[in-house]
Amino acid sequence: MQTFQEDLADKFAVYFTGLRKQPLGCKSIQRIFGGASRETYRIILEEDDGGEVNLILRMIQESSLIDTNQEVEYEAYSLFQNTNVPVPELIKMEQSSKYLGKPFIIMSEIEGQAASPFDKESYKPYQEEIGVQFWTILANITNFDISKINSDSHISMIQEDQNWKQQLDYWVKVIREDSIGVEPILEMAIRYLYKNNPKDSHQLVLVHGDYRSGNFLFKENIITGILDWEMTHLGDPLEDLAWALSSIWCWEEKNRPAYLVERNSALDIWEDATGLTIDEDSLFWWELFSCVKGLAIWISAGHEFQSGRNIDPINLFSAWMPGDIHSQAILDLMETRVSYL
Amino acid sequence: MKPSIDQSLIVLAQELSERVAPLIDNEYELSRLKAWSALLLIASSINDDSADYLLTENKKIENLIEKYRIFLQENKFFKIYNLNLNKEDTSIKISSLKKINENLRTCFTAAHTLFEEEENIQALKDSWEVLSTMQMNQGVNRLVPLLQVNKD
Repeated sequence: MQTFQEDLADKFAVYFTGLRKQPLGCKSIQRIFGGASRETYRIILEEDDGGEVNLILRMIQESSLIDTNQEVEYEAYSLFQNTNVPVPELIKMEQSSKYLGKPFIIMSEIEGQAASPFDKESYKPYQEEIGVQFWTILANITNFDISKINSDSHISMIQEDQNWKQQLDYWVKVIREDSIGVEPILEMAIRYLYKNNPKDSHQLVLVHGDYRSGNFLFKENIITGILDWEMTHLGDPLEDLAWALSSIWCWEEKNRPAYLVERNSALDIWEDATGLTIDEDSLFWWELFSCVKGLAIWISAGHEFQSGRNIDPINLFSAWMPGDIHSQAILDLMETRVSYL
Repeated sequence: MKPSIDQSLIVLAQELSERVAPLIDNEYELSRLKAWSALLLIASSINDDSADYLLTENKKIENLIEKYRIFLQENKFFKIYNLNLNKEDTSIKISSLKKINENLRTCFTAAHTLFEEEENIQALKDSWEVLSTMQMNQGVNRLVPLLQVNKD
């Protein structure tokens, strides 16, 4: 009897043969561990003459942490094909479930490896070179001309003012829906964020939504691809910056965000490349917001696991470890701001 | 004396990563198994302290609310919140302590909000101590190195 994966491989080969109009057989299929919003597979197809086609298949998860739209992901990758933001080459988005049982996206596989965001040694000895690229590419995303986004886009179009509130409302709603316990530290942060809003940037930019260590591929000292665009939206320029800076991604060396270059260097690179000046109070707000957003994601993961809908250990891990780290990050940030301490 | 649950979990984690993992060819299933092994190690390191942490946190919250009873009473706090909810079960099971803790955390969050609104500085300082205790018991700094050990 065929396994699910063998069956998927056969169906995929048939689909891709139809797409390319040339016979292709599946040489190998391998699910990639990690990532909770999509099932991702590395597939090698074989041509008649022995040539190989290396592909990445991303399928909608039946149960994913956060509802993310496949069209948004596809569109975000489309916007950056052959630009100064390296992304995999897109091949096809299929909205129908009739071919593989679920909607999916196919991309070319690009060279490189993804690192664990919790491993401080991941990028050694190239942390400086990769660091410069990491913060420059983020600036390139921020600099993207959003007028190129079509009016019928699936990327959420939001108002210029109070976009902070729309983001905060969204993640607080996730927390209210998925919490399986009371989190007083998180509640304190939420109250603070609503009371002390950041300056409106009056500049909407494209926000990756999950730009961080671990969500890019690198080969030696070169970043080869930025991944995981499913939470892309329009928003504040500081949103991605704050998420990438978050201490959760550099817990053991907090002054070296993403375990790359030092924080001040990172901020300088980003400011130079975007031409924007960072307002410290606003950046503080977005960094605290990042903790709340993070906790919303980890709470959602715990909820998925607890309900039995998705017992992937990544969900249990997310609920246990990153949740605690972001709670501590809230205390660390608030300690610098609350006047009574 | 029997071997403890914690020790058993540690051995199970070791067995999974050292004896079962090498038998698995599929990279995805292997990663998944290793993740379970890491989670077992984490579970073993927090299991023994769980009841103590809950008892400590519950006591801290009760003491805080007792200290500011008059202030809270003036703000009609006790018309809505009941500190004694779920206390009919007097066992020291973790599940019972958690139920009490959930109610106390709800009370604490409401009281903390009130302290902020009324700018009661001393109460806010005391609340911060409670929050720090809650977080200290999560043992984040203790657990991160554990993950590093198990990353391979």
